[in-house]
Amino acid sequence: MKKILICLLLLLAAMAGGCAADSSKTTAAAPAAAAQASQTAPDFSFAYLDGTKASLTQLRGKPVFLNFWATWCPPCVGEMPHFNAVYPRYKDKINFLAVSLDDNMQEAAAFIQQQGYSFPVGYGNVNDLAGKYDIQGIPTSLLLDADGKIIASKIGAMTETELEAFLQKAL
Amino acid sequence: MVKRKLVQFLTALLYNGNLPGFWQGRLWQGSSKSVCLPGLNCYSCPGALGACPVGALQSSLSGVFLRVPFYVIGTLLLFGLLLGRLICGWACPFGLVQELLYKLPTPKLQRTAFTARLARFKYLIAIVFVLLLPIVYYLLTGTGVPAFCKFLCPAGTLEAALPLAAVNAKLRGSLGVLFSWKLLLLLVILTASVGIYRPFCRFLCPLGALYGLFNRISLFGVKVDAAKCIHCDACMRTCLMDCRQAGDRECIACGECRSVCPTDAISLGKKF
Amino acid sequence: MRIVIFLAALLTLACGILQQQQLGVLRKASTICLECIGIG
Repeated sequence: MKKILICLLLLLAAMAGGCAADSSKTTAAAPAAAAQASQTAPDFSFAYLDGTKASLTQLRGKPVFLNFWATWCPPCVGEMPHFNAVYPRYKDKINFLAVSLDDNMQEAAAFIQQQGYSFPVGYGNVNDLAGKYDIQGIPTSLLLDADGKIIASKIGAMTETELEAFLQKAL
Repeated sequence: MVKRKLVQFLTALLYNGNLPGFWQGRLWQGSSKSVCLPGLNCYSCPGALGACPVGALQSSLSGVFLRVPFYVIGTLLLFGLLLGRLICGWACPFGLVQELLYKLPTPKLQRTAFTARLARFKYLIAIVFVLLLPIVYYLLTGTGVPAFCKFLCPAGTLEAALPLAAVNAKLRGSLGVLFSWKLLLLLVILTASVGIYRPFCRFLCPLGALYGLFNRISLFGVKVDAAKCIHCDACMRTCLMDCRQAGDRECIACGECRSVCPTDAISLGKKF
Repeated sequence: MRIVIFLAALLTLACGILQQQQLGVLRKASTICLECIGIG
């Protein structure tokens, strides 16, 4: 038992040392700090599910509703019917982009196709996105103005009413 | 014999070694999080350095694609085979919390035949909340639900919800009815822990239920030498869990019985 | 019995690692499970 204790102590020391040295894994890095309200949303490139490449800055000129989701996240998937219901009414005024953080694009695409959702869905470099936007939990929704500045953000799923109220902040 | 409390404290610290996470209100995202920790330790705890096996199992049954979670199952089989419920007694932070509360000097509810029967309830919780509800929900709606984590797990409320909400205003603002329910459940369990020894472990924990199934064959744990045993029952009079025999499914290898056995028939350590 | 379970454990672990399920665990464990902390 003493040997186990010594091993545990060594492991503990190694862990603590590792965490202290590698604090970049938890500290909000400088680019991530940009993903706060009233900052410009960090640009990123992505592909729509049909393969067309694009970048966030290409959506400027109109406000953007940016949502981060994944197929393995029940609340994310749960609020999508609301996106789909609301999208036709707002698409001329606000650009929608739901960015998947799945491990591969095929799963996101298969799900969206299966559900027949009409709003735009994108897929990019998951690690890059998670870092740039400092995504702590999903779903995370951001509302950007026409110049790409973050005017509102929300962690957690929204009801249709909450979604409409959220979108109204840009109009 | 190394002090069990010390090992419990060390493992709690080891599991949640990302101390900066607590005041930053963010999670550790290093690769160690791909490894499941043996005890019940919410991976949304800002300090958590590893994944919770129940949480990992739940989230694999909660997506829009149902897959057999081989990796988590393999990990659980290995933990069970190696240590069984020794994990509960020596390496589970939530177990430690309950034990510390039990130390408060109040009248205690003794174990009875009723509590022994109630101990079976955790198997129902495991089957219904960990396995059935996610799958049934998936079949009905196309997406699963991490039912145990979402509706029950007090470790998640204590280790994740409360520390994160304390520091993160945005999260705090999004808390709703679900949080109120889980907070109530946590308070009930913590209050009960003062007068009842490890109530969550004995009656509710699905992980303990699973590990208990391995207790008889685990490589490390409590063993009774039948040749030395004189059936005096001193061990069972001391046992605070709901064991019928030292080393059975309810045994968390705390070792209390070992110290009262008059013939040294009970051993704690390797069983091979 | 122990050997059977040990082999089963290794086999299932191997299956999981071959399917890169550990990366899935890492991804999910690195993101706050909002449902788990009481945000629906």
